[in-house]
Amino acid sequence: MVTKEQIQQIASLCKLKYTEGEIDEFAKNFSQVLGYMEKLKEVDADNVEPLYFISDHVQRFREDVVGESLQREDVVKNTTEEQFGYFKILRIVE
Amino acid sequence: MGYKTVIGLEIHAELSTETKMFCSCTNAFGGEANTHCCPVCMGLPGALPVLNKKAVEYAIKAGIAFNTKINTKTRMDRKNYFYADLVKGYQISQDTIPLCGEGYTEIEIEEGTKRVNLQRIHIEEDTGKLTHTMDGDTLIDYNRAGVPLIEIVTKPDMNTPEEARLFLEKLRATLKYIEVSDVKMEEGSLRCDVNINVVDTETGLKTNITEIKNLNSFRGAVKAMEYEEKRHIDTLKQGQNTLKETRRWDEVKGETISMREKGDTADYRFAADGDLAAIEIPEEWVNEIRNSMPELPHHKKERFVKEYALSEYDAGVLTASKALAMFFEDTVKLLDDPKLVSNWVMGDVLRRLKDDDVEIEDTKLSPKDLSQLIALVKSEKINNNTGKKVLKEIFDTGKDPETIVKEKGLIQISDESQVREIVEKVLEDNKQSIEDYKSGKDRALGFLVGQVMKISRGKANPQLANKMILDIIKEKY
Repeated sequence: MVTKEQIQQIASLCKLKYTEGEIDEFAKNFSQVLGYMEKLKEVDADNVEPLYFISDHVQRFREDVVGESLQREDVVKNTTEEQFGYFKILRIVE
Repeated sequence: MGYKTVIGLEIHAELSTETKMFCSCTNAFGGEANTHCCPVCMGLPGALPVLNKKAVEYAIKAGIAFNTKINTKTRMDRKNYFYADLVKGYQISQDTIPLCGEGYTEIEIEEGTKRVNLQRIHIEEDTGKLTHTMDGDTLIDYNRAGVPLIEIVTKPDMNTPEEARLFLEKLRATLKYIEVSDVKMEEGSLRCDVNINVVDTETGLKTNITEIKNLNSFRGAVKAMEYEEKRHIDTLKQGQNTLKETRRWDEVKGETISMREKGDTADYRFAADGDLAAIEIPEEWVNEIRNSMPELPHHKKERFVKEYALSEYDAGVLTASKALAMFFEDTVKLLDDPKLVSNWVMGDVLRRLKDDDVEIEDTKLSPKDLSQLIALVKSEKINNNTGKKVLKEIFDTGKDPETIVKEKGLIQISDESQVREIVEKVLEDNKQSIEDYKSGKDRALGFLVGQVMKISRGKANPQLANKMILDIIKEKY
């Protein structure tokens, strides 16, 4: 069972806000999905290597050679506020 | 009652590659704000990261230097959190399978050699830099976003702030030796977080762990640990416990200040980064890197003791910096007297470096200069004091010692008749000192030698002057 509190916790980590009704709905749906996933635990996977990637490609490396960066005008083009070439936001101290 | 302090460290070191971790933007420090940015390090939709081979190689080098097990199958994970220093809403890091697993290094404490175990070394990308302005705004520069980092996590194996300092020194010297990081704390290429708590050795009671962040110098780190150690012991003495919290060190106030309580540990929702495929490190590659490793400080130290017959202490000082060790060896190659070269380097050269707060490679002194200078002193062409003055002149002007000696007319006067002339004049003018000496005041002799040196502008051979004064007093007075 996924509780309403758990949904609220996940939503707050994602900085999302939902109405009570939506949270009830999510709790119900999440419980269903996770319940379905629980079924997988019935499979004996003791001797199976865990799979993290669907593709069996192996990471190819990039050589350490400097390439071109974007022009600064383009970097900051889509921000609402810019100052001295910096992105400017309201002060938020972690 | 006894207390035991328990300290663990987390160190972030920026790798000195040419480019960032996942894109080909330059990894140069500084630069105008937001000029080292591209769609990958700005996290623009559709941009795909590709891992920098050099960054992996450097991390493996660090792993080998700290005796870790290199995991040949690893991956990158996403660490999710929201803060403006992060463009994507997650940092690409490593979770359960770090590139380098458990390892260790050794530090020399008073009681002998102590092993500090490492939990892991993993690779990750750095974040952007926030500047908080007086107007209540925050300005963001993403030049640093995506710069390759290694995070080194120790086990809680250090028991005093001094041990932690020794470990940090060792770590910094090692990373510098193997040339994977600039390790400049002032430029932020080396950053350190501390985990500290205290155990009452009688009752076994433990304080909750404090994490100290934002330490930007080793001195600051030590002071912060000393402050926390005392705060934890005081709290235990009052029968209370510390909060599990993050604090920051305030250099000006000389105290730590609470930043946030760690009620529930942050939930980073780690997950494999699907933009990057599984990483396989071929065994041959690791061996290749292992074989290309430079000599590490402690090996070099052992070799210096054996090869140059230096004391443990001298060898330790000379090998603390790779550049200094190289300078010493290059000088010895030109002047085969390791003990004498070591004395000069450990004395006047190191003092000068300390005064100017520079490294040997940033000065005008070359091994050739120093070997020439020592040869001049050794052959008594100039005396020791003049040698020191010439050394200063080399540091200041970069001229070679022979030229300086010639230009300034500093060649030692060892010609007996010349020295005799000066000595006779000095004795003539200082009859009282002769009486003083004869009545047993040894200091008077020193004064007379001093006068001879003064009149000869430091050029007289002091041993010769000393002997001659005694001879003439005996003969004439």
